[in-house]
Amino acid sequence: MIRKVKDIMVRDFIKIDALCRVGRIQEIALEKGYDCFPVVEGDRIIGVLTTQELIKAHSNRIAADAVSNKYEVISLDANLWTAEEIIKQKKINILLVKEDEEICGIITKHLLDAELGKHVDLLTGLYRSDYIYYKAVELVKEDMDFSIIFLDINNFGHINKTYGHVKGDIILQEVSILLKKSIPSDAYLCRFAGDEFIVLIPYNIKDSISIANKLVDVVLCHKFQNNILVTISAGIAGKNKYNIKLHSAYSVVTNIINTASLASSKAKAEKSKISIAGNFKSDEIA
Amino acid sequence: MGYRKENNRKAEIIMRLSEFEMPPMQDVLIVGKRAAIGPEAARRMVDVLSPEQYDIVRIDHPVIEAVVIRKALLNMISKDKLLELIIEEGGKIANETLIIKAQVNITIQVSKSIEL
Repeated sequence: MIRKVKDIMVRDFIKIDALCRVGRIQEIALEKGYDCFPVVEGDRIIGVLTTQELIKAHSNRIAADAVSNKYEVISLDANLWTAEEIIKQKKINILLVKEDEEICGIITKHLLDAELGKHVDLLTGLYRSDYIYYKAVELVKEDMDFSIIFLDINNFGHINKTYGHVKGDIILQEVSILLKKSIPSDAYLCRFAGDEFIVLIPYNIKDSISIANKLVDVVLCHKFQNNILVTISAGIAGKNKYNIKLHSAYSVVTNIINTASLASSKAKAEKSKISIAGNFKSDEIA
Repeated sequence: MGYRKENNRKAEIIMRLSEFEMPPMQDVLIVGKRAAIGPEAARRMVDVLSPEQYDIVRIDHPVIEAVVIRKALLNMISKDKLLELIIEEGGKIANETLIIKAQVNITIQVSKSIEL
């Protein structure tokens, strides 16, 4: 499930009047422990004051003379990845959360980093599935073509039992590095679960076949520790006339990922490198 | 011989009366980046006391945050030229915490010859 801004925003904050003295705001910051204040003039937001501005400004200045305009406004229902993209693009540290023209919360970069850190897989350093869901949902909303390559390591359970879980973990790390190096610059990679990975490609299925073949070959040709033979299977699925009719963008993405997963299982069963999704039923479980 | 103790205290009062200028600033105010009064406070002050008579120009400078200029001066000389001069001279004495007021008198000399 993609988490939203409203799930993590700071709701407990104080709006500061533009004419308030900086020294007074410094006192409030110390007393209450707040590190960000929206500054208002009437109903209008004129900027934000963070600890950084409060340290720099003379205590006799008015808030209007110490504010920073390095902030953006975001909606309550925006998801966290959107918030992160805005913060990165605009090079800011503060997002003010708006609901019905009212500021109802604050998101700081530190808060966001701490939350999104939970969506990075500790073993491989890759994003977890949440990130791919978010990116794919964006592409559905923009009516862009995309496909999902679902990759899983063949006989990984057997590898773990034969060589131990430590070696298994090293293989997962090496596979992650190989995949990361081999995907196109505009594609997105995540560790989906266990020995499964997903690559989101912003092209149609036809254009993704060569990429899937390349990824399978890169792993096949790599010399892993202890000369362990590691191979992967790939299943490819993309937007089609069946899944595009689903009522929400999220359902479309879920359906495509599930279909790609089934295709990957088919490839494994048929001992072929890749399988391209046919007419799998959307409620089948991989 | 006795002496008389005198207790003769006097106060001398000197008064100088002059017209209070509104707002209490002259032609130009140079505001340092960490001055106790910032350009926004200065703008509000002059807007209340002398609406539309001053212009506030925020500038990119190591120590100066903004310059407040009496608009009448800009009728006689362009803003860019005047700012260049103010920053060149003001920048020599300004620091981050200072607010410097400057008196700027512009005299235009015209010399023309006409046919008799």
